[in-house]
Amino acid sequence: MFAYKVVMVGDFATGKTSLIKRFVDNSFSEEYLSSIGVSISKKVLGNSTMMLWDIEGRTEFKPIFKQYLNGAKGFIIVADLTRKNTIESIQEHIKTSLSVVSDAPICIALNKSDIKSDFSVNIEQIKGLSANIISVFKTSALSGDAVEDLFKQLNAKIIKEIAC
Amino acid sequence: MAKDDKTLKDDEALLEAISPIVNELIDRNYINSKDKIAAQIAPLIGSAIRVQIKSQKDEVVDALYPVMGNMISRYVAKTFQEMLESINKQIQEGLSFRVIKRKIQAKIRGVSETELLLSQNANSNIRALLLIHKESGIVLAHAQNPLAPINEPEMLASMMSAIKSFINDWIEKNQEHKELGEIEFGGNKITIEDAGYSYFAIITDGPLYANSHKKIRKVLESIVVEHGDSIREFHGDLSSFSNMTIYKKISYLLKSESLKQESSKKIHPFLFLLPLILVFFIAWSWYEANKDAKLLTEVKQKLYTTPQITSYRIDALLDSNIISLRGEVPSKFHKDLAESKVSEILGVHGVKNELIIINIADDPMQISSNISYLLQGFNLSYNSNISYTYNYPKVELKGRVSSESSKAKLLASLKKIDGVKEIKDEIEVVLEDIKTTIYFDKASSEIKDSEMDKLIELASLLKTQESKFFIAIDGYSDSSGSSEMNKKLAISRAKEVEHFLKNRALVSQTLKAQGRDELPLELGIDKDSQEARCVIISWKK
Repeated sequence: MFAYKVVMVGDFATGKTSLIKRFVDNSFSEEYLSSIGVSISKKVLGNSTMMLWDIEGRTEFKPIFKQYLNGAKGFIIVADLTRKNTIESIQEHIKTSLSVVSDAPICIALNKSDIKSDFSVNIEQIKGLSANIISVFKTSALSGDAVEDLFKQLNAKIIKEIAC
Repeated sequence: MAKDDKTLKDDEALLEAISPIVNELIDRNYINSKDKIAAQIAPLIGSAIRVQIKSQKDEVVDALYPVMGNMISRYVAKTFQEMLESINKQIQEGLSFRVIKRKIQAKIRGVSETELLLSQNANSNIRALLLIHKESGIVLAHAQNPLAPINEPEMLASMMSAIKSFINDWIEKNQEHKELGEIEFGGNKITIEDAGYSYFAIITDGPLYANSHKKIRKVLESIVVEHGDSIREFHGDLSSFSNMTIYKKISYLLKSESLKQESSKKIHPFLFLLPLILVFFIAWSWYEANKDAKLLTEVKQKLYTTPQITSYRIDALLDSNIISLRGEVPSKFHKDLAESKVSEILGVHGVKNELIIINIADDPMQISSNISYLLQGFNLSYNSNISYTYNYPKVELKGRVSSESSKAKLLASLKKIDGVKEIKDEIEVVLEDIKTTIYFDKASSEIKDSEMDKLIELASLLKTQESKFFIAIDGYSDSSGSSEMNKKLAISRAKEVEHFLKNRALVSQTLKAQGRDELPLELGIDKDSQEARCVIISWKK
C-alpha cells in the first residue's frame, strides 16, 4: 500500500482545479481554495492513494504558499496554452518546487489544448527545463484529453521511486 | 625510534601552531553558517536522543528534569483544571437519572461516589484517532469507532495538515514557537498531539477528557520511541506501518463501548419531564373520570325521569363526551325521544343511538314493569291503593277506588299497555264518606260563618265524586216551639244549604233537600239539645 502527496502548481486560472475534478474520486469543496489557499482531493490508483493538493494559483501579487509543497512526492505544474506568460512561469514553478523537495518528479500539463492558440509551444524546450521532468502533456480538462495519462504516469514514476 | 619522537614532537608543534587558527575558523564558520550547521546536526540530535532514551531512559529524564519539571507542573495544573471542570459539570447536572444511577452503582460496588465519578471521567468519547505524517499529511495509521465512523480519514488528515501549516506559518511569522492544539466544529473537536515527525489528530464528540488525553500522550510516546525511524524516513510506503503493533496501540485508545456508554448516558430531556407528565396525566385522568361519572349520572337521571321511557331498560355509556344508548324500546318514538332528551344535556357532544326497537308485548317483565309504573301514578293521583298481581297473561287488580269513573279510567289505561290481554278486576268502588252536619242558631235558618268552612270543604270533596249520585240534605229543628214552626225551620235550613251547594259551590250531583219532622236520632242527641237544630248532608240511598 502506498500513499503520497502530489501538489498542483501553476499560475492563477490555468485550470488546475478543472483537471483535478476530471480525475478524482472525492474532493473537498473548492471554497477552501479561497479561504486557506488549498483544496484536497483523493484518487485511488491500484494499490496507491494519491492525495492531490490543489493550491491557489500564483498571481502577480501573491506568491505560492511554499509550506504546502512540503512532503510532496511529485509535482504537476500546470500552464495555460492560451496564455504565454503562464508557460514562461513554468521555469520559476520548477525552481520553487525543487527548492522544497529537490528530488521530486515533475509532470508538466499544458492545459486548455481544446482552445486554439495563436502561438506555438516547444515541448522539447520545456522538457529540457529540468531533469526532474518526466513528461509534458497537452491536456484538456474539457475533453479529458491526456488527463488520465498525466496522473497515471506520475503515479507510476512515484511508485517506482518509493519501491526502490 | 628517534625519528618517531621527532615526528611526534613536530605533530604537537603543528597542533599547537594551527589550533588557534582552526578554532578561529570553526567559530567564524559557526557564525556565518549557523543555519546550515543547525540543519545538518538537527536530524542527528533527534536520532541521538531517541537512541539515548531507548538505552538509558533514566539518564535522559534526569537531564531533562529541570525543563520537564515546569512542563509537568503546567500539565498537572491543566489536568486538574479539566478534571474540576468535568466534576463541576456533573454536579451542575443536579438530580438527574445519571446521578441516581451513579449513587446506586456506588452502593452496589461498595466504592465512594467520588471514585465512581472519577472513573466515569476516564471514559472516552473518541470517534477516530489518526497518526499523521507531519510533512506530507499522509495517514500512517488510524483507528475509528465503528459506532461513529468518520468519512475519508485520508482527506481529513491532508486538510488538517494544510490548516496546521497555514496557522503554524502565521504563528511562526509572529516568532512564537507554538503549535496548533485544537480545532472545534459544532459539538466535535479535533485535538492535535504533536510529536517530531508525526502527530496525532484525535476526533471527539465533545471535549477530550483529561484521562483520555493522558493515555493518548503515552501511546504517542511509545509509538515515537518504537517507530520513530520509520516515521522519519516515510516516503509513501505504508507497508512498514501495516504491522499490527501501531494499530493495536491506537485501537486500545478506542474502546467502542466507551462511546456507546457515553451516548447511552445521554438521557433525553424528555425523560426528566416524565414524572411531571405522569402526575399531570393522573390528575387529568381523575378529573376526566369524575367529569364523565357526573355526566353519566345526569344522563341516566334524565332517562329515568322522562315518563314515556322510564320503564324501559336503557343503558347509557360515555366515551369522549359521546353517549351511547343501548337497550330495547317498543317504538321509534321512544328511541327518538331518548336521543333528543339526552342531546339536550349540557356536556354531551353527541349521541350514538344504538337502541333496538323490538316488539316487547310478550316480555312479561316489561309488561309487569309497565303495569307497576301505571299503578304508581294512578294511586298517587286518585289517592287510592290499588295493588296488582301479574300472572302472564292475566293481571289481577285489588283495592278500592272512590268512583266508578276513576276505576274505568284505570282499566282503560291498563288495556292500552301492550301485552296486557286479560284483566281480573276486583276493585271495589267505595264512595267517599261525605256525611256533614251543619248547625244553626235557635229559630234561624241562616248558615253561620263558623259552619261555612265545613260546607266549602264538602263542596270540594263532592267535586271529586261522580255526578250521577244523589245527595240528601235533611233539615232538622229542636222540639221547642210549635210543630208547624219547627217544620218550616227544618225545610228552610235544608233549602239554605241546598242553595249554597247548588248555586254557589256548583256541585254537580242531584240534591234532594227536605225538612224532617223528627229529631236527628242518628246523632244520639236529646230532644231539647241545641244540636238538633241542624242539616245533615249524606249520600242518598
